[in-house]
Amino acid sequence: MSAGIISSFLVWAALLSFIFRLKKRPIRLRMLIAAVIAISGIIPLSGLPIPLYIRAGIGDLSIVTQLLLSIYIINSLAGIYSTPARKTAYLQLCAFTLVTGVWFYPTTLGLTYFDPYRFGYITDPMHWMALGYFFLGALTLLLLRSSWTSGILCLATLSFSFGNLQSTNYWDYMIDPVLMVGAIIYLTRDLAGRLKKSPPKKHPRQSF
Amino acid sequence: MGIVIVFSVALANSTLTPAPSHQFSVKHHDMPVFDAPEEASAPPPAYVVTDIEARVINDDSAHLVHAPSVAQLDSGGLIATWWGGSREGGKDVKVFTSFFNPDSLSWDEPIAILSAKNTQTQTLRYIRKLGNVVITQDPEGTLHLFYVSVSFGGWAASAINWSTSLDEGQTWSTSKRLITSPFLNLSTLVKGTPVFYKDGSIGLPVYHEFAGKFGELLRISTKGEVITKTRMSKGKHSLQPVIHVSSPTNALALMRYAGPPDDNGNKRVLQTTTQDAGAHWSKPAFININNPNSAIALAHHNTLGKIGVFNDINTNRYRLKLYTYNQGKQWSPLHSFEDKTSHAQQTKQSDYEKSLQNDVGQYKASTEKKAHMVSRAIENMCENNQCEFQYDYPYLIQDSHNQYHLVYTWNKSAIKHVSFSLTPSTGTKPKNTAKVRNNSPANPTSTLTTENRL
Repeated sequence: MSAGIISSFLVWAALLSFIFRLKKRPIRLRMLIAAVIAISGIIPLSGLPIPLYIRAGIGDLSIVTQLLLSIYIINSLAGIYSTPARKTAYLQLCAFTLVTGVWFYPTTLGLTYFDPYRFGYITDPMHWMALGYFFLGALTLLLLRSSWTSGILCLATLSFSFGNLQSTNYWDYMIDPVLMVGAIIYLTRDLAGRLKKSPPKKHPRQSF
Repeated sequence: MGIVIVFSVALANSTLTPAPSHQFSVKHHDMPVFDAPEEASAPPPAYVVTDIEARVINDDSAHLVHAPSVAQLDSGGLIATWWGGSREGGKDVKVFTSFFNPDSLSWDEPIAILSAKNTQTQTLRYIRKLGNVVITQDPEGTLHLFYVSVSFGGWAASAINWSTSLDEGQTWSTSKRLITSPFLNLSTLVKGTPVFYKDGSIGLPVYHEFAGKFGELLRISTKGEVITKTRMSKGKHSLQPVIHVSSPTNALALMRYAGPPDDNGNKRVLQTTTQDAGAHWSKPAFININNPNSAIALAHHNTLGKIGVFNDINTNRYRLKLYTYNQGKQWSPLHSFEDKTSHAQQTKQSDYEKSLQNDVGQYKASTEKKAHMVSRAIENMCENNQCEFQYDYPYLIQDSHNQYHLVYTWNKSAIKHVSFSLTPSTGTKPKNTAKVRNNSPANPTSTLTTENRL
């Protein structure tokens, strides 16, 4: 069994952790909710556990998404809040994901004859380009002092070398539409927060 | 430092992986005349369709049937697959197989081998409906079944599943989901006949129907892993590619056209070609055959190079015609398998019934089955006393005796099998026939020269 099937269970757990605001609960209640979440993930509904319905809709998510979901669930369970530095690192990863998705998805969905998804196959002569793209991404994140998110890209690449997912394509380890949507939400929320916190600009006439 | 090591390992991994073969596996011994310029001066004889026999494959267990495919087995018989159920996209749709006995020259009772329920259990995800199915036998004798399933939404949300049989279709392996698209693995469908490469891998023509409609060639290992893929077209107007391989490097693909008509009101079949075994394809161009946004079939012919079956009209699917590829690199009509041009507009139910009864009288099937076909066709194709004729989704193979097997959907109600031969009209045998392997039905180890085993 590939690691891909885990992603739907992670999505289910992360979703319920968010809905129940797990992180903000006292430790005992947190553990109780966590147990309920775990049990809900294996109870069959019309013969299938709920996460396998999620899997039917979104497929197997990338290793990058799976790592981020795992981090979120662990933080929720342990009641850990991200430091400002860690938040900045996630913002940088989100920006990289957004930039990648903006050019990657239209081309892979048939807009052009150029199909970068093809470069994700290990047998493709241009496979080095896909690897090189994420190498530059990881290197940039590292230079921006974000070894945490750079490490996530490295772990996903390592996972590709071990063939942990059912997919044989490198891109499927690094990016997926759920990650893209998540990145957009994270960046938008951050932007909204910044706009809210920034002191209101006074109109020149207000001084009068 | 860590980054460099990780990415170096990944790069080394790709460098050490052997590259797939860049050549098609061409099993037919006779290269088409038009791919051998030195022979082009000798025009091939005109051909006529002979030995036509029409049979019905399905039974009456499914109200609606569609999307048949067929493959010749090493043991000499045929295996056909299709889907059937109460309606298109119904939860009760199943994938059926049936075997053609070369001794009794008849089709066995169909067997339902796959359903949404068992595909769900096998692929570990919710499955709502099943769709198009394609079958082929690889050079080692393993049968490969590629079929479409949908979990949520319409056909645009399809994905491909793969199952194999090591005993010529008696038992099937657990289905495996193929990962073919980066967008939630949505929208890859099958219709065309698979081809083979020299390294044993399978070239599966597929198409997308999500954001656009375009064709691709998937390269799949015999373990069911996607090795690579190539885009055959782009945009929103081309789908269901079918491939004809003419040499280890050259192939031609035709595609169904889903776009608007041209200035003359015609919609035409699209064609693209490759000269590097499918690594790159030319920009699609129209050919001289009309296409009402319907599926196409192609097969090899030892002298003519290729033949095809088309709904060669601009709207509806009331005509199904065999075309040959002639020396002028043009397609010419040769024979009509179905032609209801006189009923191109909607037909009164009484006239429809009479016409169908007349047609089924020529099929090799029991009286009961024929009556059932007609009544099902009326149920499926008539509304308010107005009926339509529909003959579509052709799938064509050439067998080891150079006989052709065409299967197609008959008025959404039957899977029709037409076997035929192409004979030179002069009465002489085609000049290349002697080179073709003579596989007697009595020889169970005979190998194929069919189109789908190129």
